Amino acid sequence: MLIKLEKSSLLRAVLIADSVIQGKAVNSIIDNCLIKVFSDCLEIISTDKDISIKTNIPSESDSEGIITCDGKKLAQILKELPDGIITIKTDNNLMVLKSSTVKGDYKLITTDGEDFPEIEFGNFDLIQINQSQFKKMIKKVLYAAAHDSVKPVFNGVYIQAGKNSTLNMVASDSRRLSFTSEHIDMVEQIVNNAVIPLKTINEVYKLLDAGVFNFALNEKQCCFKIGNTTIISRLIDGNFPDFEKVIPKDFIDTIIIDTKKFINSLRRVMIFTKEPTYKIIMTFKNDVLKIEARTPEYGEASEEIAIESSSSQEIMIGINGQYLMDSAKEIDTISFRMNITGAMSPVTMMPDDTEDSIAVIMPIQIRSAE
Amino acid sequence: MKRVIIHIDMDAFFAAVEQNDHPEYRQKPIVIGSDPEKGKGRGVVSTASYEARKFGIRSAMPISEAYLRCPNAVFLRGNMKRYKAVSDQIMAIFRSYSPLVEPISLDEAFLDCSGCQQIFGSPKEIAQKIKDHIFQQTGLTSSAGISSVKSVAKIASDMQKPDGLTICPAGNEINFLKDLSISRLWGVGKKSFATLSGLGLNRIGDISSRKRHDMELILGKSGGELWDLACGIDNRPVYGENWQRKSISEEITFREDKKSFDEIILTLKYLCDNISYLMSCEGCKARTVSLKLRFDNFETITRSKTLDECTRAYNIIFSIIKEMLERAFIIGRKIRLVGVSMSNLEFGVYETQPELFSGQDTETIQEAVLDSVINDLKTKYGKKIKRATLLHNLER
Repeated sequence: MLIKLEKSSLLRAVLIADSVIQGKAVNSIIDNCLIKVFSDCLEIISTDKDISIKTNIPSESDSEGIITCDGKKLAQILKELPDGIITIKTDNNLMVLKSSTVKGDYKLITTDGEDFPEIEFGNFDLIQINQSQFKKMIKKVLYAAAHDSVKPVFNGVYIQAGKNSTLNMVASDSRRLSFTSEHIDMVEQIVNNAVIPLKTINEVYKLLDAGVFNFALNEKQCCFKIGNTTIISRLIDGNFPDFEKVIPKDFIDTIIIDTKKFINSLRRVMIFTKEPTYKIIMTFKNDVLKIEARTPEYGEASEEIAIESSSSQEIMIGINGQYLMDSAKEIDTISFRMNITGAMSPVTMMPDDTEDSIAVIMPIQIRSAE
Repeated sequence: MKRVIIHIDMDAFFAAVEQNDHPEYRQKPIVIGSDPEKGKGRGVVSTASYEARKFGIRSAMPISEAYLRCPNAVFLRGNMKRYKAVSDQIMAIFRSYSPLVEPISLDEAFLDCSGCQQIFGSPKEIAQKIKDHIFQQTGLTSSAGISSVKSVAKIASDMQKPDGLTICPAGNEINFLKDLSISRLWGVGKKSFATLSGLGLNRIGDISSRKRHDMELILGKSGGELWDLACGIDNRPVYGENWQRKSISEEITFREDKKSFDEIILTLKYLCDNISYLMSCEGCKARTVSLKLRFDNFETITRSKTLDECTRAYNIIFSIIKEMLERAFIIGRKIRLVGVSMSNLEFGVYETQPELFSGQDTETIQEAVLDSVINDLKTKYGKKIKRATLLHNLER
């Protein structure tokens, strides 16, 4: 086979494919990228058994065939070659790369693609979603997801078709939760709800840019078609807990805080906190919020910021400063609302102009190990 | 400043207590252990008096074999309550000589006497005073080992039993140890002995005369540790009573190396159950779970995972251990030792972030209740209480 194509498009496709590969399956063919060669295009495919990804790029070829190769090595050499047209000649378990501008041969070991597991990129009923809108939604919730929770549903992002063509997106590590909701046409056509694995969401997030993409769900899998890349991913088994129940509706105090001032104060005070709880104490009293941290090994810090409070009652809450920071950073309004439900019950944060994005954080409690 | 560490080990403790309490047993071979059932018993020897040792009877020997060697010995089941009472007396004596006493079992302890010379005299004098003190109060003899490190002090106390006192001067460790059998080193059991012997390493000096790096090449990380011990390098402190443990661990060396995933996971299940119980006894929880695997060539790997929340829940510990084993397991590779360790311990009260969904999670609540019921039963009826999932033929 002799293939001719643009180096940059091949490099991009190989990098996309390689990012899925875990590289832990020793001597296994799925540590390689699969390249399907058609007369006018290539498909670069990879899988980690949970996620499969396929990118289609234009090329010219004298025949058709399939091969696999080490995606990392291929990407490495492509990165070092100047932009422009490259040719790939395959024969006898080798692919020979030639650049149009550099005089040299790069022979990469290949294996027969026939041994690569068959991946079904199947037929889904796809709906169209605006890429930047979806990307923004992911960003608002992703930070709250767990990475390695013993409860699998928290290692992903929960999506749910809401009322009146809204899509709800939720992530939680079980101690905090982030929720966002946006209007999306035809969203009710997709399956009611699903938990998409974090790795899949991260891949999707990297690919999302401008324009629209296609999205579909069935009982077991989800499918994203973004540009010339298609991702098929397994969904996480299990039911996401009833998140609406844990978003408080009644508050003893509602506070308006300047977002930037809050973040800056928090950042300074947090220097005096430590892992894993990053504990800070917030005291609300008469339109003043006092933020304090105390760690015997480091010392202590205290700051006050002016707030607008709906109650004159003094309330003191111990809370994870990092959680507050993560949520505050995703607020894009000048000020935000913080709702207090009690010293030992969840705190909510939301932009002051909408209730479509809410962060819920559980305060720190003192428990006994006995 | 070099430390002064004294290891004191009571001589044939259980048997000596019996002989002391019952004049009719004196000068007779005494074997404490399970019922020999006239040579058909299946248990093992716990302690043999020095008279019984003359017949070749040793601790951990099958009781049937002990019976065969000396049918006329006095076989006793032992009186743990009495031994514990005598042990308490002895430990109290230790504490009157040093604030840093680390009991290892009922009949042995390490004492760090580094600052005690001003009060009690030279290390040798201190050890002799302690031995005399024990003898006056209990009528029992003990053996002492003195060194600047724990491992050498322990080896020394065993060298001139009974009623011995052996000193290894600081700086003289390599010379002191070099002619001893490697089986005296901590961690060298029957199987390791065979492996090392096969490599021509029989005396401790055979190890210390090599380079540390060479031992690591042969045996991996544990080879380096073995070299340290052979050279008398051991920085472990003597843990006093106020010391709070940093980890809780349990490990098992298989009688025969295992390569079956199912058998290994079953053993780990057993260890996780024990660990969960031990943590409940200590009143602590832990944030880090570690799995230790030693392969047949002594290569040892550990895998750890740190959780957001500390736990001692059996099902959580086991699910993490299982996941780590699945990743580390290599088909066909024989494993000689498995271990589970919990670290980042939390005692008493600690700060935590409660879960948002805890009210919805009935399964976790039920598991916690189950754990506490099982642990209560174990405290009441002993370790034979086990989970139904462990009711297989567990081979240790």
